[in-house]
Amino acid sequence: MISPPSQNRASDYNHPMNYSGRYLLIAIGLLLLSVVVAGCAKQSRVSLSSEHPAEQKPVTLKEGGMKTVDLASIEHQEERPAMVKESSKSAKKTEAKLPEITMEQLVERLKATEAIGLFTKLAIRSDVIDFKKSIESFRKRAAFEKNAKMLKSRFDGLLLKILALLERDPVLSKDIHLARESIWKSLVEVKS
Amino acid sequence: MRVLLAVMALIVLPLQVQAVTLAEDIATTIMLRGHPCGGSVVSQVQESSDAAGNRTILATCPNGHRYRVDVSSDGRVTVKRLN
Repeated sequence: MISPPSQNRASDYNHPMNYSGRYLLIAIGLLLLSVVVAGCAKQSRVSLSSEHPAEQKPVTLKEGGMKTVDLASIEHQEERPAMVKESSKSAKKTEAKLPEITMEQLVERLKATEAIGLFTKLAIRSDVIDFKKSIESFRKRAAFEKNAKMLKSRFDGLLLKILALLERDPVLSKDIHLARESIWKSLVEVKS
Repeated sequence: MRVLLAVMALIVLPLQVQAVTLAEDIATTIMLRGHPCGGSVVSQVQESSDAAGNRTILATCPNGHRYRVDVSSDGRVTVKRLN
């Protein structure tokens, strides 16, 4: 005999297999939702950054410190329409909101990251010291301006190496990438 | 519930920074110095240090090349191929 539909449903509901099936469905739904949300966020970031290349420029140095960039505030900035021109006052306010990060802080973060091992960090440190020495030697011979292009390409190569090594720490990698011009300026600026 | 927790863990785990092992670190250092290694993990690692604070690491790359990594007391890193 076939039981009435209502009783059948109740017994199905109490069946342990159906509980796990429901959880599985919820989990798959959550996973899909997170993938869709992450994909949308990435796509909007890419499309916005290609539309507003000027906003990708890193912030210049002020008083020996290096301004870098809060990712959340940048994303917030990028959400604005491209053609909207803001007044200088509001731009100043936005600039003031950006947290400052100095070269020392960046070095400390590189020291602290677990994405790079100790020996690799020492090797990078040696490379950076050598690069600084070569800049100094060019400057002493008054040949810096002539070789600025070559030094900049060496710097770009060194930075690319570091960014490749920071594959496991994407936040620090992105911060360094955004601050690359400031780092270059801090390396070449004449210290009195 | 367990399935849900497992899925959440799968989502959260990739966000954490994974620490590198010594074998990976040495392999990266060898490659940074421009030597071929044939992989990202070395084997047969031997470490020694002297009284001056200089460290020497011997390691074999997946391609069979054996290297000597010298770390001086002031942090300078040099790599030499042994075979």
